[in-house]
Amino acid sequence: MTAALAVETRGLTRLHGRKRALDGLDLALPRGGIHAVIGSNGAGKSTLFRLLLGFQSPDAGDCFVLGQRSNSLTPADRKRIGFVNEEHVLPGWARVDTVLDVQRSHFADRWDARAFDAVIACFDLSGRQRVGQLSRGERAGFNLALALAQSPDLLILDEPTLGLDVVARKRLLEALIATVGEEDRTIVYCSHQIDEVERLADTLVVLERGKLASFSAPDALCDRITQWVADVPFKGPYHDAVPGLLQHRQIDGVHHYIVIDQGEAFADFLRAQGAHTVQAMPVPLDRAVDAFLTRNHAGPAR
Amino acid sequence: MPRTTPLAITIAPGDGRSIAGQIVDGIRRRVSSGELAVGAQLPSVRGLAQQLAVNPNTVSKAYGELVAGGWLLSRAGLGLYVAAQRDQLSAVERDRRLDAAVDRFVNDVVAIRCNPDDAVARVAVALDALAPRQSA
Amino acid sequence: MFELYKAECRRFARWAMVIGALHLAALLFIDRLFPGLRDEGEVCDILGAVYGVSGAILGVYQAAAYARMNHWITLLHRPLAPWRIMLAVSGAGATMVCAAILLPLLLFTASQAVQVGHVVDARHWLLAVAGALIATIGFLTGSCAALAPRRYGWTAVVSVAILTAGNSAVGAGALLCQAAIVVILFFLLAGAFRPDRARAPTNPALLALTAGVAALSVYFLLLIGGGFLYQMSLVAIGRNALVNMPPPGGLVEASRADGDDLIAAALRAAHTPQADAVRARLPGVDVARIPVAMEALPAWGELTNSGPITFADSSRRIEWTFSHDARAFRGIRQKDLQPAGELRPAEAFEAPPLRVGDMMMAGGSLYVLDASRGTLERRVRLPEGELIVARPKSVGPTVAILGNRALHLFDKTMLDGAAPRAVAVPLPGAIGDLRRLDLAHLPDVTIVSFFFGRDSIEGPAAAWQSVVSVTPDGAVRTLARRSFDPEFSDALRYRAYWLSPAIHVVADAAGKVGGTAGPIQQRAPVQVPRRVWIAAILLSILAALCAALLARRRRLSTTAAAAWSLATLALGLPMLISFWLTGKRRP
Repeated sequence: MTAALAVETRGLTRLHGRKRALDGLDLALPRGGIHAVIGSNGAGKSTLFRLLLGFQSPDAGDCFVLGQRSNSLTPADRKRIGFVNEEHVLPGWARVDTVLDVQRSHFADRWDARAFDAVIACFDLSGRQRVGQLSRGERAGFNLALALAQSPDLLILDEPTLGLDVVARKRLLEALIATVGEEDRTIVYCSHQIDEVERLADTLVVLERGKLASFSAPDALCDRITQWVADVPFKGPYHDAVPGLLQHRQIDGVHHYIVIDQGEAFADFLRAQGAHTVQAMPVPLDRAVDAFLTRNHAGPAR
Repeated sequence: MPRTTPLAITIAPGDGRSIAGQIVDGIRRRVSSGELAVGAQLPSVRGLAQQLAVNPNTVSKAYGELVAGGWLLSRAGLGLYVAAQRDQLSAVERDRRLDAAVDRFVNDVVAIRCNPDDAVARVAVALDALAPRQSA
Repeated sequence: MFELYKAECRRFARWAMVIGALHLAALLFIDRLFPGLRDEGEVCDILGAVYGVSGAILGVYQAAAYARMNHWITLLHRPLAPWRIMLAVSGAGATMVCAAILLPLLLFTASQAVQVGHVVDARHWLLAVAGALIATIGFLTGSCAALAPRRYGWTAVVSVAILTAGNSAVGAGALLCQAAIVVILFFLLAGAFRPDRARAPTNPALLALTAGVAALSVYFLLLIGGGFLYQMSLVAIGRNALVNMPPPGGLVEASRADGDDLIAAALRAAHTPQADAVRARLPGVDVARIPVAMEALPAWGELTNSGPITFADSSRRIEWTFSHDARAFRGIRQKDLQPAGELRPAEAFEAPPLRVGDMMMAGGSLYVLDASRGTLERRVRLPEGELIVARPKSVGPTVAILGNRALHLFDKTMLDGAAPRAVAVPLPGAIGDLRRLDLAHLPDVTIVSFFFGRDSIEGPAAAWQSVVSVTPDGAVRTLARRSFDPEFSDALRYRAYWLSPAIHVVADAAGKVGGTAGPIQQRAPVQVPRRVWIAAILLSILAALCAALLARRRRLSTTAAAAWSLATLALGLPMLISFWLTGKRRP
């Protein structure tokens, strides 16, 4: 439980009925930088954030944010943590001015008006508008502006660009990038958009079925994964005979293998299976993540 | 003091190379082709990050790699500048890298099944376009 | 916190103004159409219920909107302690409720005060405050029910409804009781207002309060529901004395019998010559049923009226309304609607008068309006310390007036001013137990039958009947006395005791707190058979063992397990169920 870690979980487990939303998750995110959290739906991302903020309790294990235990966060702790979720929940009946006043009164000593103005300038909002009348993108921009203006030491964003149009999404990302590197701020960014993740992330946290599947820089994950194209005769080897197999497709008689942690030796393996032509290619991040997450269903049954 | 030279590189997230790699390649290309003159000042880390809409740490990493490779010069407190290009690679290293580049190129075009002569001719044309400005 | 409060107030401000205006308009309009409605006790009770329900609707609406997970996170993830957020948000809701309920009521009362015709006492202002308090109770209960975990959120509703409606506090005491309920609800809500709403409160005091209220609610539900189920199962097997054929000569049959049959049956069971002699003379004689004690007598400063407080002097065309502050009637001349002064008897009223027919009863005195002089004349004064507890009834040449210690038979001539002569028949039992009173005048003797046993069929009281004869000189002789065996099992009748003796005491006390019913609620102490106590103790021990096992299964700490087990030992089965509902769930 060190203050050097922005987020720490130890053996964190949470059940949802019979299913394990989180299963013994051990995570240690250092302070500073942007950590992207990805995983397929139901991998436990939203549950993780709720547990970290103390809104649900773990069934086993512990979790800490900024060195504090999650289920005993004081108001002073919450002052340092910002949270933005995909619904961008804001009181729909209130005016933009009112919401701003309430937020400013909470964070009076930390309010960063410059950051707020920088973000809000991208969106055309009037103080007298009702929040309920704003478009989704405007609400998202307003919400992010409020979150950034409170100068959080830790900012957690749970799919903030979900459902936004291209323009709004771009603005949100620009606003976020503009604040990176400021004052030891840590950002935890959860998204399904791999291109956003690739642009933003310093580290990539991959969750799979409630467990930590990978924790590294995005490049490091890509470097481990290669795509091999070979003309292995007939159906080729069984899936469990292929070392490090993530995904296998057979297209027009040519076999495409996506494998992990295999070096040049894989070419020899393929030649041993009877291939004459063997090519290796690097894999872009989205394909790498897709293959990594679907490795347990490696392809049409073989 | 020279002003910051505009840097016209783009990055494509779905590309096979990492973003830092694309930045490095883009800058090296521009330096090789002369668009970035020796001594030109590059945009700051934050500035380039904002321009490309990527994490400044990634830009930092790319710049760091370029500085380590001798392509850029870091003047403390002033910024990054294009360094005078010297031949820093040994013949062995050059060969190795050339082999790797040829491999990549061949992999990329193998599926097209074009005429190998056409491919070689195209490469020659592209290199010619760069050649006049490359100094030894 | 204040900014949040203001913002939330602003959310409901428009609604509050509109509803407040409609509310005031409705009050004024209905009072114009039906001027006497304001003074009717039942109308005020119904209005109170409407306020409570309205408050609850707002409470549920506001809380349920915040209760969704993402909304809850947005609300509570702030640099503000949860209880402060609760104060701001729920406080704003309560403020708006009060604005929409209290202000119109105060304005309405003020409009009545400035009008000449209406009597407005201090109690009417307090009544307005009571209306707002009931609305606030409803609001907080709705909020609790919506925010607390679903498995025990509803328990607040049961307890609050029963405590608010069931207590007998009067006047300012009623306001204090309501305020106390508001405070309890405030703490219950504070217990539910936490980031992780799915868990019971961690603060031991709040947890104890939550578990206690849940136990109380479970107790009431078991009492009512259990009794109902038991009765239904008896009906199913055809053995329910109330629904199916009652056993002959038994309690249920007697409670339904005609007066003459009731008296005859008692006399027959006596097997004495005097009883037989009287029984022989009974057929053909008119047996009159005398009303027994009322639920509650009017008290000074009561918020709603127990009975009618106006009467008209038709000869002088003056309408009189009683004012608690003045302790006198205030009159309005009907022809020009101008005040006609005050009317009070020579001696001050002991209690607020209740109009019964064209007489007035107040405390131990009976008054009539002297038509010729237009004054109130006292006709009857019961002995020191005795109160008239029921509506007097004229039977033949006498007027029967029931006091809390004896039945007084007055000569009818006293109503016209003759000197009152009375015969007093002392009550053989407590007034609160008197279920039924029958009287028959024979030429030389009067027969009175006292049937005691209120709450004795399905409840724990004893049932018995006493028939006495009274001669004009005042001599009272007991002719017959018989007891009735209970017709339902001890399990049903004493369920309030064996389910949880401790909670029974608490619930009983809560119902009585602040009340001034005093003399007419006096009852003989209930004789609880020893086997019921033994059953209660065994059940408590069994429940405590189950609680200990449940605590082990949920892997509670030793202190927590011990605390729950002791609480269950003290409070019995309802506490076990409350522990199961509120205790820490996930292993």
